[in-house]
Amino acid sequence: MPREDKILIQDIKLADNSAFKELFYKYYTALHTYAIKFVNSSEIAEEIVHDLYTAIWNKKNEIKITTSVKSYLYTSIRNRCISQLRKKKVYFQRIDDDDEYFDESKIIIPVSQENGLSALIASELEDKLMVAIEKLPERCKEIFLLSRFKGLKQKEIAEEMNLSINTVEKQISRALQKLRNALKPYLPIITLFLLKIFIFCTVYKFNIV
Amino acid sequence: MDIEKNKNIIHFLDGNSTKKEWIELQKLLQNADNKKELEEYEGIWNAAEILGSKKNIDASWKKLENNLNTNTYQKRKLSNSPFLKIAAIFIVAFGLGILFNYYTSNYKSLKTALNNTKIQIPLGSKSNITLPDGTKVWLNSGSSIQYSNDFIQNTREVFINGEAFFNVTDNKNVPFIVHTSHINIKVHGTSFNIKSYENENIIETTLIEGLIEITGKNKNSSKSIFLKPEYKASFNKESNKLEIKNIKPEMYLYTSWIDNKFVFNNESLKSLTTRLERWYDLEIEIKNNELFNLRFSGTFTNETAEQAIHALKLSSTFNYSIAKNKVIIY
Repeated sequence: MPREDKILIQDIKLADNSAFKELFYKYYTALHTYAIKFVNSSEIAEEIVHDLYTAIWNKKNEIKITTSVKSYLYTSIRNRCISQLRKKKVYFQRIDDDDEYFDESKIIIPVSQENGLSALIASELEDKLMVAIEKLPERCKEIFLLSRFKGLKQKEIAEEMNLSINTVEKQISRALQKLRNALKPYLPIITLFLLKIFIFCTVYKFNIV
Repeated sequence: MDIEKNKNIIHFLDGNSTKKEWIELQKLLQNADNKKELEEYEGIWNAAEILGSKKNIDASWKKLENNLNTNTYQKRKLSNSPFLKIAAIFIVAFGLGILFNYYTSNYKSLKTALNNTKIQIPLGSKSNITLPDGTKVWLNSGSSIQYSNDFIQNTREVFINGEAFFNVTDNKNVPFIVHTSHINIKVHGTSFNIKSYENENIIETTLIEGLIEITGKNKNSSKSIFLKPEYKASFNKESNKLEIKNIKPEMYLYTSWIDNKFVFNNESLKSLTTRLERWYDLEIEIKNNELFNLRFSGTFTNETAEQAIHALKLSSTFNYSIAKNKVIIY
């Protein structure tokens, strides 16, 4: 059972490694993405998140969190990013007041963690999906992984691989079709457990049109 | 293959639909087959993203784990602690008559009120933790510690079931109290070992350093005794008697477990059995009652359960068989 944030912090104060790991897994992706917005580099963003977590672990007895744990993590990341930028003497303007990036409601936690989907189903799905991805033709796989694992937009992939956007789109389309065939028996579960995102996107996109 | 349709879907997934494409997509979605197809693509799309982020997290976690200070992070290897190296000799015995019914009920109500944080160590393993006030606690196998979430604010109180070694952080303003089923221990800055397993009749408190105050949970007796370093207080749950004994020559017997050593000195097989069961997470059955009083001395460190039983057998006369976690001695 996932623990509540407050409980996680309490357990971390007791030197509970598993609580520390849980807190890391719960927020890593979101904090990493958030940090990238400031420092514009995946590696530096990762370092900043690592530094924060290292500090949390090493100073666990001194930590006093008055806000929610989530706010605490985000604020800490932001402060660390800003001091990182200062160190590098990067010019920035009124970033302290810029709360556009810090909106708790925008933080999306992966569905599988949020609704406590049976770990068994999730891990079986993951295995099947990984096997199917591995079986994709080499270039098709490479492009698909850049899109889904590295989070690159199709345009960015085209630039990085020096391909036309048309080629990238074709390869991704091909990957999706192959995966759909390979995962036929699992599609009902896959759509069931990710439908939430689908609805969210639909509503969201409808509004911006 | 409908290239336009695919392009449309790909753009939608990537979040790059133009207004024209969006309207086109809405039309496509009126058709149930198209809708199903899009849902399936999106499912795969999102599932792959989640999978990717998990892989990234795994890799990142490994990196972080390696970078963390190994001394403070990894389960501390229980090794020589300086505060264990102490000496002096006395033998004293006290009796403390205790009727504990009243306090037993108190203990239970307090226990439920404080069920906020509980740490339970499984059989066959040991662990150490640091309490919010910096106090270090080593917990032997099958033991648990419990304390309130507002620990440290008013009082520092913990409940122990099983065996624990405390190195208490000094704080004269906030007393540190250890509750067991039958006695309370008030700590005046110290390190000590407490052994209070539910299924054992004796509660043993061994003081290494400092001063502790032991009070029976008896409404008729407010009497408490102070324990000096290198003394052991054994409280008998049946007779309500407290016996105090100097243990200086064999103090290591009471604290060696935190150094991961199983030490026994002229100990009966019956008593050893109980400890070995906990230490190795075993079930031991002795078929022949005459074997109960066989006595053994020795130390186990890295031995497996089987090696340990075999070593005992070699210095004795019994036979044994092992199946899974069950040992039969005959």
